[in-house]
Amino acid sequence: MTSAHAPRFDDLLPAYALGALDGDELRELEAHLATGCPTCEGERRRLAAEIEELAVAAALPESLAGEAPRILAGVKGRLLAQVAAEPRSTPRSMAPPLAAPDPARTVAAFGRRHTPASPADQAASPARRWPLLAAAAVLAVAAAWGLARQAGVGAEIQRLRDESRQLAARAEALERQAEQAQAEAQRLGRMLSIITAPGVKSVSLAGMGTSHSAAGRTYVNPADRKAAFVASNLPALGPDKTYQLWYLDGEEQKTSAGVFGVDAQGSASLVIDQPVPVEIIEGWVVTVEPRGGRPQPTGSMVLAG
Amino acid sequence: MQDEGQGTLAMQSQELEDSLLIGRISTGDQEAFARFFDLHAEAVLGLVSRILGARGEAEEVLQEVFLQVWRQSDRYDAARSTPRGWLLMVARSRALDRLRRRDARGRHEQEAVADAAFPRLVSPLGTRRLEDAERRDRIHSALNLLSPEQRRCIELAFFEGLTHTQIAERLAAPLGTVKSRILLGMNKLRQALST
Repeated sequence: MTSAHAPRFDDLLPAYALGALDGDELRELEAHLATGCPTCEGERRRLAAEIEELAVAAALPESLAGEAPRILAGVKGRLLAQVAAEPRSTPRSMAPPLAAPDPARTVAAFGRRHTPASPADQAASPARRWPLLAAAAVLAVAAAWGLARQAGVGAEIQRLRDESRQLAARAEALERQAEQAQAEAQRLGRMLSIITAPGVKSVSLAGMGTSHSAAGRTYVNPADRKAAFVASNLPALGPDKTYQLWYLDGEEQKTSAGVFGVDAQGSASLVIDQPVPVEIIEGWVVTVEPRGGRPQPTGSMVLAG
Repeated sequence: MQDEGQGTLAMQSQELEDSLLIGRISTGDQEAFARFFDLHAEAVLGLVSRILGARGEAEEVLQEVFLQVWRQSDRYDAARSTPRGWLLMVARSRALDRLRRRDARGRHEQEAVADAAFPRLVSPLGTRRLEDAERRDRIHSALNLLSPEQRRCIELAFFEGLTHTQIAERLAAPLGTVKSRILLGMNKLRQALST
C-alpha cells in the first residue's frame, strides 16, 4: 500500500486532474490516492477549481454564438418536458419498482372481497381457502413493502436533514471566510498606509545562520509611531514555535514588537500594534521562540538589522 | 484588491446557491432544475461546442448532461468540487465520449474546427452573465501568459482528452517535454489565477 505523501505526487496531480496521466504513473498515483492522502485531497480540490476556470473559458464558436439563446431555449423546453414526465420525488435508487403493489389499494380490495366471509367460507375446502391464502400473502407483501417504504422515507428525511446541516455548516464557513478576508484586507490596508506614509523610516534586516537567505524590513512612521514589518524566505516552523520581532534600544534592551508566522512561501507581514519609540531604536532582530512568544528573547536569531 | 475580494464573494455566493439548487434537484424540484439550467447551460454549451465543434452534437450532449444532473444529482460530492465544477466535468466527459466514438473522418473534421477556433478563444461570447465574462477574461489573461507549447499541451489534454503519451505522438515531441509543459503550464496558470 502506498502511503506517505511524496513530492513526485505533487508533480503528477496536475496532469491527473487534466486527465492526461497514463501508464505506470497513473497506477502509482491512483494507488496513493486510494489511501486518502489529505495533502493530495487538498491539492485535487484546488486543481478542480482551476480546471473549472479552464472549462468556463471555452468559447462558443462564432458560428454558434448568435444562435445560443435559441439553442438554449429549445433544449430547456425539451428537458423540462422530459423531467416532468420523469418525476423523482425520491432518489431513483429508492423509487419503488413499477410493478410494486399499492398497499392502500390492495388492502381495500382485500377488504371488499373478503371481509364479509362467513364461517362457512372459512371452513371451506382447500380450493375455496386458496383465495384467502393468496390474499394473506398479498397483504404480507404489501405490509412489508409499506414498512420498506416507510424506512425509505425515513432515510430520505434523514438525508435531507444531513444535507441541510451540511449546507448550513458550509454557509457558516463561507461567512467566516468572508469575515477573515475582510479582516485581512483591513490589516493589509493598515500595513500599506504605514509603508507608504511620507517620511517613513525603513530598516533592512539580513538573514543569519541557517536562515542566511531570509530578508526583512521594518517601516516606522515617526509622525504617528506606527510600524510594520515584512520578511521573506524564512523557513517554516513547527506548530510549537513562532517568530518574534524585537527592537533594541541604546542600552541593548530588547522589547517585543509582536509574533508572527510565515506562509507557504516563507513570507510574513506584521502590523505592529503598539506605538514604537522610533527615537531610541538602535536596531531590530527576529528570533525563534516557543509558541505565543516570550517577554525576552530565548531562541536563535534569524534576522537582524 | 477589494474588487477581487468582492469577486470571490460573488463566486462563493454563486457556489452556495448552486449547492442549494443541487440539493433541491435531488428531491425532484423541477423549478430548481430550470434555474440551474439557466445559470449554467451556456457555459456547458460553450465547453461541449469547444470539444465537439458540430452544433447538432453539442446540442444533444447539452441535453444529455442536464438529464444526467436531474437523474444523478445525489452523486454530487461537495468535497471534490463545486456544483458547477461537477457539472462541467460531467459535460466534458460526455463530450469526450462522443468525440472518441466518432470515426476517423469525423475526427479530422473536428480537429480542423478546433484548430481554427484557438485564436477565437479570446473573443467575447455574448454571455448573459457578467461574472462569466469576467471569469473568462481572467482565465484568458492567465492563458496568455503560457508559452504556445504549454497552452497547446493543456488544451489537447483538456479539450481532446489526450494523455501524455498521445499528446507526445500528436506533436511528435519527447514524452518528458510534454510532461514538463503540462506541469509548468498548470503551475503558471495557478500563479496567474491567484494574483
